[in-house]
Amino acid sequence: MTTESVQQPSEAQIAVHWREEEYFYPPASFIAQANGTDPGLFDRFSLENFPECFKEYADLLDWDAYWHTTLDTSNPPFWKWFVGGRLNACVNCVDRHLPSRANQAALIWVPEPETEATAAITYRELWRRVNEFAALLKGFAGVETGDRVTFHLPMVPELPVSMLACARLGVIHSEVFGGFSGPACGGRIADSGSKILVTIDGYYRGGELIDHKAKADEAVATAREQGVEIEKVLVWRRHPGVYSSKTPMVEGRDFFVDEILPEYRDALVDPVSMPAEAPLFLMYTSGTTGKPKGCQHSTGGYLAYVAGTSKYYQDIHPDDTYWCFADIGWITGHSYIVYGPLSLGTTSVMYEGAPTYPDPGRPWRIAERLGVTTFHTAPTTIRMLRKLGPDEPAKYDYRFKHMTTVGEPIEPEVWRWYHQVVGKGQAVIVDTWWQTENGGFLGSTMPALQPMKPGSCGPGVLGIHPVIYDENGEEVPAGSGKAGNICIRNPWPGIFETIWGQPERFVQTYYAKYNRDPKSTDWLDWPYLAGDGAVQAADGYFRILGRVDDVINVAGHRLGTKELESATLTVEEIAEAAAVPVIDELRGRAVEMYVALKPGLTPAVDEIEAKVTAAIEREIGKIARPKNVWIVPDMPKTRSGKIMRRVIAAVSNFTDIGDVTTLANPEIVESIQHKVQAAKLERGQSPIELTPEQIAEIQAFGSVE
Amino acid sequence: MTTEYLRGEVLLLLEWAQRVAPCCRGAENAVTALSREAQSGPVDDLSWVLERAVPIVEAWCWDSLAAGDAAVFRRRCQVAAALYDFGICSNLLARRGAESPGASSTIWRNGAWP
Repeated sequence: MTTESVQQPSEAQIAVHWREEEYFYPPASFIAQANGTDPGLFDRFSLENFPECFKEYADLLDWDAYWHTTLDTSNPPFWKWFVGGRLNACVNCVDRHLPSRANQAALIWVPEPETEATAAITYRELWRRVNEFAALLKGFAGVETGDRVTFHLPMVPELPVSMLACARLGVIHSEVFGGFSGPACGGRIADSGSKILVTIDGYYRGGELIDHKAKADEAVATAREQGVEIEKVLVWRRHPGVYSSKTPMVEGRDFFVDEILPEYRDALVDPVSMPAEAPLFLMYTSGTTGKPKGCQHSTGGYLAYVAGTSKYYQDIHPDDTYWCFADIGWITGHSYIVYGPLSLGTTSVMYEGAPTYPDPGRPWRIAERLGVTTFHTAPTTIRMLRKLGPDEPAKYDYRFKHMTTVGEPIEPEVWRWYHQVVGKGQAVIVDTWWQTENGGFLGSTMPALQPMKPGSCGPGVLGIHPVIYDENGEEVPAGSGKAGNICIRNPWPGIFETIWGQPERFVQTYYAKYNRDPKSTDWLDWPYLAGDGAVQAADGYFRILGRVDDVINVAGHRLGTKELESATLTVEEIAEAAAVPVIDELRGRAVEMYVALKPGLTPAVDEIEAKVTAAIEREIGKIARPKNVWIVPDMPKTRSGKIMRRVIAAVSNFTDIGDVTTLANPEIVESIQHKVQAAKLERGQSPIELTPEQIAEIQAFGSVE
Repeated sequence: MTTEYLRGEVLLLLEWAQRVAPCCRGAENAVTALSREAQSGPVDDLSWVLERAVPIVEAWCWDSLAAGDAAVFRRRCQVAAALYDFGICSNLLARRGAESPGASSTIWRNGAWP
């Protein structure tokens, strides 16, 4: 091995810049009470026992009719789980708990104003409210099984009530995160074909009562422009009887729920027994290459999966007080505030407002007051709480037994603060990796059986068999230090069924890349492409590196565009930088840097090129050395100022630059194209003939799905 | 990764910025454009959104200070600080100036060992 190769950082180091860490083991007190203590679980969920292993998850639910086929693969990759089975999600989350825990709190809602009382909603009360709202939806709004209903609701108890009411009726709900604008909500209404919008007049955030109803009017208008007419807007009121919005109600369209509900007092609605594969909800994710993707999640498979992962990975027990500090507007909230915890009959805490309002001690006051045993949040929130109140947890008398981190990789230093300060050294941590499309966790550690390792999410969870492939579909072995695209070999019950109304996009985005035979009905031929880069250590633990679209693969080394641009911006003279890939016959892809200098500087071309190259070598490594550094007067930008990387990537690769008429500065493109391509020809870098796949890659650069 | 929630937090902060924006169409439009970008672009573009949002709101702070309006100045400073803090804590923004305790995110983004 040469000295140079020894000094090169591994790809994992390039991407995340942290070392392999030591293991942390759970305390005996945790193991003694844990749900998952039988090592035989791993054998039962091995590939040899696939797909029947997931019966163990499905058996956590109450079924109206048992299934005859565990996994139907006849129309891949549109997998169907538990075919022939029938159930109702609301019954599983509410009704079935009534005999044993009717008076136990199902939800504890903490309003943001500390002067307002916390509300505990028992399973019986939840059952009442869900029935009444289901009756209203059916009787007043006229919704029927299979219809879609859109919610634009913040973190108020009316949100889970509305979700469960839809589930009771077999109606597909689609919650749009409360912070989204009216037009964004309208686009999702139009895509789903909802005729009913459920919203609220206002909610508290950062100490203010936010006027939310105004967005409903914009949403309805946008949906109308896109061909869908909202028939009724059902408006919950944050303070029943008091309208908190300045926006007028529209006669004949907008209705206060609290005024209509008395007509349905004590109404009971028979739950609709749904086929296991019937859609339960849509969860939209944004994409830049087209309209948002409505991820369609099933009833039986999804519910079984979130119940199973909640039991074994969240280690939820019915007598726990479980707090997932997320928003139900995202998949984490659907799976791990509502459906997972309630299906297991535990008490789930919801908090309305900003994490650090009125001060960074707020979460710990809530934990102390409610006796929270299990805490679940994201690394960004952990960093925020650490930054703003590093000593706050010690001031409060709470004791967590289990903590989760979700949403992004967590740096070991932050992990240790979470463990030592928030968890007071006594709680286990499960670091989880998954996505909106997946329904539930894909990578994590089973807390009583597998040690924690800061910075790594862990191995695949029960029944999930991840694999890392390189660009050619070759498996990247564990412990090789090589990164690649993390995929899941097998289907699982929580996987979304399709993109609502866009089945081709579903196949193309998630399965086409590594599919071995489009006609095959063998699930082994259809690995699921998660879209994240990852590296697997020798112990089988995965470290997630980020979206695959953000990297340029140079001779098998995955270089993050952000890291390249950050390194370039350390050069004092540079104001803006953009990294793009150029097809290279030797290395597959090479890096080209485009830089714009700070105003008033005269470019000394050779000097700037040398400085940029040196900065990249210093910050990342020689492998990342750019093939060319182009100094340009300005970058092609959208009207809002975003650099259009696909345009400059097309210039570097001599491909069609596409439509630039919507740019703020379309004139700059021709200037850059002329200058760069002439210089490349002068340097002997003639255009090479690109394959259709390479052309597509260049055209899609910078457009993450 | 389930990073969609980052988008949500940025949107809530931009909504807050809207509420303290100067009463001129240009200021509102600037934040509206950023909100639109935050709603529709890839999560990684939130860095770009925050890089622009922070100086916009900071400029409003100076405007209110110049106008002698202490109450508005305070509110705008709260928003600017919240945007910056969130950007740092989410690793979407690089930290300014000298390192301080808990500055691992900057070191991390700059590529050195923590």
